[in-house]
Amino acid sequence: MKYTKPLLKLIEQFQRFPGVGPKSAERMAFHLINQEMSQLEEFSKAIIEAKTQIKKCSICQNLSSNDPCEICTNYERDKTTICLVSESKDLAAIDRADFKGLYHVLGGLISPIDGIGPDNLTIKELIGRLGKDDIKEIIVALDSSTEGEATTLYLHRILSPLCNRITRLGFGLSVGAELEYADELTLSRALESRTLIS
Amino acid sequence: MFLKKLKLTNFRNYADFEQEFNTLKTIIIGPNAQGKTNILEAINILATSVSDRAERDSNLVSWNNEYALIFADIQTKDDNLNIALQINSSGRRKLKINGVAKRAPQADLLGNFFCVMFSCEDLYLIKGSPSVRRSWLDSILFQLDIKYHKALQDYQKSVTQKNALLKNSYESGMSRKALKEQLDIWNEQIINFGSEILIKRLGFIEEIKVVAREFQKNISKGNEELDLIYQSTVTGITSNIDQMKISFKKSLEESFEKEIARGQSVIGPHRDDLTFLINEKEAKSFASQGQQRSIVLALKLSELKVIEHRKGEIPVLLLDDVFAELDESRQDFLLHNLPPNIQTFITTTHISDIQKELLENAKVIKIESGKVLNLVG
Repeated sequence: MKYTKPLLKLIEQFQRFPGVGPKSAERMAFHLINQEMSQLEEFSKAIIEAKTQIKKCSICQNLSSNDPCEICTNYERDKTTICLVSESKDLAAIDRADFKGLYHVLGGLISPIDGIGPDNLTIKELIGRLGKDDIKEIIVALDSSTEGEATTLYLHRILSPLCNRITRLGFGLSVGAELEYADELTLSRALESRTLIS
Repeated sequence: MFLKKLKLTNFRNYADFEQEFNTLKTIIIGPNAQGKTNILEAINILATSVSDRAERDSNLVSWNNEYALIFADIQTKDDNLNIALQINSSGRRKLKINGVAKRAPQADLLGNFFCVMFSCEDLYLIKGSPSVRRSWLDSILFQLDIKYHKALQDYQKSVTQKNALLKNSYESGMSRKALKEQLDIWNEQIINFGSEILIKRLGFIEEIKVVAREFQKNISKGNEELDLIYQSTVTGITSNIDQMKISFKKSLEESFEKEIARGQSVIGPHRDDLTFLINEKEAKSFASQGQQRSIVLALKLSELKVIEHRKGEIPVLLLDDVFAELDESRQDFLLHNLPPNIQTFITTTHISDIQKELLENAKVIKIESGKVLNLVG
């Protein structure tokens, strides 16, 4: 049996979401139409508000309701260290790890196959910041994928004349992991980046 | 290694196949296009993680089904091994080894079970395109070295990205300087992964060459000297990783203009080839039909030896309809040069193609349209 047209349209909308297949889309659509009208109004209001009220911080390019954002205007943060991330969700992850410096959101990773080159990232904005502020260290915190690696290399080349200390995240065992369960590749990276016991 | 039990569900034309094996030899007999080779293909996937025939995973799932399952009970030298592989038509896989779910179904499958597949297609190894020889190298190195699989995956990703960049730059009229800057970041990864691949390929060829030469000499009664030469698009390949990286970098620099003109990455292991020489003459152009068969036979026997030597396990041998292609003396040579306790699976359309000696103590399975008919022997 085919679904009625409005229902079909709703299912299609959900299917456009990242990581949502036909079955999940169906489930979400049915969940929605079983809700109270007031609930739905609140939901659609939340979507519109999110879209209209969320801006990009003109300094760090993070999503925020204020421009400049809460992080860039916070006097207690260390203004000499800047952490480069690909997306806002990575920023949130690093921030949960108690990083106290500033951020810069690149807006993606270099990936020619998806048509993303360096010009599509916020590198110009970053270089502008380096000219203005006294940045002592840049931490590159990107995915450990071929695209993340390529972007890290590119940034290193572009930024090394502008900053003396450019670092990247370490590779190794996840915290609390038992050695015997770690895969070979992680272990060999961990061996390469071993450190002195201090 | 001994495959004790194989169960297939929705795999190719098998809705449900289950067999236990307790003889060293299993002969799978039936008319053409009934699914004999599908059984060998399933066993081969357990060792190499890839299918030698299917372009994509969805081709392995029987029509109108969501997933295919391969279950295997294997006896290794000193342990039991149980593999459960689920192949979804969407292309995703799930893998359990000894009941434990694995995170990387492709990579974690490798290095557990070993086999050598010998089919009619292998006769193209000599005269076929370079890609045939590269896939042959890859399928063995996947089994021998898990790191090779990962390096090849990352290498291929970088090459794909570099090709996209070369293509985009042409269309968007990117400046030379910008293109050079961006090519460099992909080339750096291509050099790192590519050098690792080259070193491992060279090491394997050095090892198999010695064994294959001996077999070839014996098949030809001392008349033929076989040699294998790895032909790389990288000039100055060596067995030293740091030196290899320098050579690789230099070759890429020299081909910079050529790669831009072609809009394609032309340097690296994805463009390399392997040459076989018989008495110093290139087999591709000079070898007779019979000599080609002898070389392939020597290579397959050597493949067995190298896997056995490196892994300490005798791999399972899969012979897919090859007896029709080998004359009596080559059949004899094959049979008398196998390790005595090797498990062998043989497919054939006519039992008469197979020597009597092989039929002794063999289990015979008759196949028709993806079903086991009856058991003889």
